[in-house]
Amino acid sequence: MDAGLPGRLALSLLFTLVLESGFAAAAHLRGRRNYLLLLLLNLLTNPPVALLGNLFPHPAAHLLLETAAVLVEGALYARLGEGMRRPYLFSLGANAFSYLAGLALSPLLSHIFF
Amino acid sequence: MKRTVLSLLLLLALLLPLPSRADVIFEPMDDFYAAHAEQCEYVNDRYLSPGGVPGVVSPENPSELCVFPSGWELDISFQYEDAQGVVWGVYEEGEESCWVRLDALQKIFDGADFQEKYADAIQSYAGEMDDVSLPEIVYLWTYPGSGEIGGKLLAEEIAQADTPPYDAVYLDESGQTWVYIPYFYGMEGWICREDPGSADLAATAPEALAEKPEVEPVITTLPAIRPLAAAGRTRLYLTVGAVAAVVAVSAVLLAVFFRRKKR
Repeated sequence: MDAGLPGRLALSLLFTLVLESGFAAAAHLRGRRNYLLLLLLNLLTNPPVALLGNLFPHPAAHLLLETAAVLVEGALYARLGEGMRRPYLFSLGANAFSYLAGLALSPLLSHIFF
Repeated sequence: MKRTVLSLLLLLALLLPLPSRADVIFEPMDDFYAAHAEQCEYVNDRYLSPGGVPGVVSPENPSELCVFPSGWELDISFQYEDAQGVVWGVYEEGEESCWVRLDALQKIFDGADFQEKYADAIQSYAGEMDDVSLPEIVYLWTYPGSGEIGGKLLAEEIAQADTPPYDAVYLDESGQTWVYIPYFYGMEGWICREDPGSADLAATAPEALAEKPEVEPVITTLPAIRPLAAAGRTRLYLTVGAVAAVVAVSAVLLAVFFRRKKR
């Protein structure tokens, strides 16, 4: 583990929140409670997923972790969300969007922040 | 929403970076190096720590990551000179890395140093190996009389080369002839003409015999404690604790905010 791991986890969380919020807006998610739910669910899942993803940098591990995050968030969106017709699809879309955007932006972010 | 989701994902897929070709020299997986690669110089040198030498995050971040005990050998792949003229080397242990001031370490004499010091005594190759029958395995030494093997080659590979891989010759004080191979099958080093197949040539060069600084041995009763890994374990435990705390607080907040709504 290098000294940059806590920083990387913090950046991962920040960018996930920004990207998923943007995705939610584009997908017409409405209501402050739904956005609070989005925030809390990402605080719940992103840090452990990002930590484990750094400790096990293998594509299969990443796929497993992201799948778990999609299912957990989807289940909680279904249970706690307001007016969300397709909570699992939303969770899949939001997580896929933030993951792919993170991959695409990773070289640029590494250059800026490290 | 389905159309929006699919459109956004397709757009992102097009932005994914293309795979790049790998370099022959492995670059450090270090954040500071990644940001300053053009200012770093490849050196591939070895150093010895006299003890108490700190490894820090980067030349611009003095946060200490570990301390190298006396006798610890450091392989430095790249070095960087900061604005004050201090030269730093990047040290790696697996995926962990840190930076060390090279003026705090003692450089281990190597083949490049030998060629620089004895440049006047090194002659161009003139067929000295033509009448030598090579054994199956030929040993390369880091420099004449070093006592340290730098690699080995198969005689068959040398025989099949279009041109002999030999480049220079050096005659040591005991009269032994050493023949230099600058690069062959990824190997570099000196062959002892008189005994090319021996893996037990003792150190005879003054530099190899020079008295090493008095150092306390690194702990050997357990698996060698790697300074950076040991320090890294502590930081990892703290990071895991912080992640667990964030998850716990989030779970509590979810229960609090959304349980109230259900009432």
